[in-house]
Amino acid sequence: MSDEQLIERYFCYDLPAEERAVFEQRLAVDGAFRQEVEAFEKTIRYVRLDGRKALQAQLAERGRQLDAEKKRPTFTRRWGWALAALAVAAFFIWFFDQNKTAPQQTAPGNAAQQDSLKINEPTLPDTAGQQSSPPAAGNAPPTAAEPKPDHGRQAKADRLFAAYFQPYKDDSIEPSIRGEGDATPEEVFLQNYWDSQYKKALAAFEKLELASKNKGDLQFLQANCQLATGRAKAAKRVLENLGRTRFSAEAKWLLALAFLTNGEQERAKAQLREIMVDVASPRRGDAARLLDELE
Amino acid sequence: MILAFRSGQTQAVEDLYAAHRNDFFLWAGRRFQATRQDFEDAWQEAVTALFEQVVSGKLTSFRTSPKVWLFAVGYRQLLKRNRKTKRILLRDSIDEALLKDVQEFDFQWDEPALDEWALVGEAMQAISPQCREMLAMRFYQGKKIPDMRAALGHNSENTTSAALSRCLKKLKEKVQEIMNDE
Repeated sequence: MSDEQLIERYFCYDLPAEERAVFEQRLAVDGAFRQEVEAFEKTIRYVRLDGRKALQAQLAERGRQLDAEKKRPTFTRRWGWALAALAVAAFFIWFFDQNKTAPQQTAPGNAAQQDSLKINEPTLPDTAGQQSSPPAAGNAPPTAAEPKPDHGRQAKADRLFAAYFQPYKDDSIEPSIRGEGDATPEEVFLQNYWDSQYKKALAAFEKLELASKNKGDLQFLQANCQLATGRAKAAKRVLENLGRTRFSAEAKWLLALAFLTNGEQERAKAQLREIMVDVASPRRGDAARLLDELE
Repeated sequence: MILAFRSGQTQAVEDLYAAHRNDFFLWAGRRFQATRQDFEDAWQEAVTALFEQVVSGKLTSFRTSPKVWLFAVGYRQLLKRNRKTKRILLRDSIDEALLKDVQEFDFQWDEPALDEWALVGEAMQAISPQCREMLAMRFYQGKKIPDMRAALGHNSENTTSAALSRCLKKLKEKVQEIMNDE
């Protein structure tokens, strides 16, 4: 067995205990071998960190699916309650109407009686609209923050950006503050983000401590705020240097959109192609569609 | 579960993550004043840590149960990740496990600095997505060559080994280049 195979088996935990002991003894006395193992170790460390990142992205995606599934029955239940309330209200209207109309049947032409039915008619709450409509601020197309070289081409890019961009939201970022006391700066940022107050969220982000500012998850949300308020260049900078985040798959998509609205169509296309070959990306379909429209 | 993890089945990891996630959020919500995002991060790290401990052969059995292990590690991660997280004093089976089986949870969670993550990103960009997947299968998930051959649809194990060697060589060169630049 060559040294390379031996080292590979060592790092794959494939060596039996006795061979491992021999390996470690040699490591202690053989300088050249040790050097080779150390170079290998660094490479394997990078592979493992990359593997961990991919696994966590996979788990985050599953988490989002679970949250979405949980939301669906809640939505149905809410409609169920609304329908039940409607049925009860209809019953009472009918009941009172019966009581009132019975003696008045001898007095024809009572227009007010007919009106009262209309006034009391209950309406369903528009919860579907509240749930499915994205917040107005989030959908607002960004203003042209940077100079655009080709106006026709860029106008199309901006239209596509407005059609595809929506600030990212899922249940996992919904603020859930319990107990008493003031909200922490992170909570203020998250609350503003959740409420679609993107300018306020950006102001809150600036007030965060450095450790919080370095959190990849928060940087991802910051980039969303920047894109929602027309700061594509700043968003691009943040996304290109993003720390570790469970939103890495979404961040790649967001970076493609940042390139697009920043007038860098070739980079946007390259980024979209990268997303398309990433089997774990939830944005593969979007990337294919957008690329198709761009080309 | 341990067997599935040892053979690198990430679907089993996903299933474990999903099975107790809600319970963990409820449990952690009663004990900490923190955001849902904090709970999500802690839970992901606990599940990932369990997978890594099993794959590396450091964890071969549980004194209690995988769920208690995950809750105890998630609890530790919550305390460590955010010092400001406010703990609500309660005592339950997880505290008992943490006190009684301290060595079972006593492992170092390797949390690299931001600049190292940037270097990882730079190095991994130098190889193809297929190479990335193969290397992760072998060195992170601990998959054996025959399993990799089957998963990748290669004609023979030699093909898989040769492709793996090429990917590793390319990445080693890039890592060396980065180390020389540092």
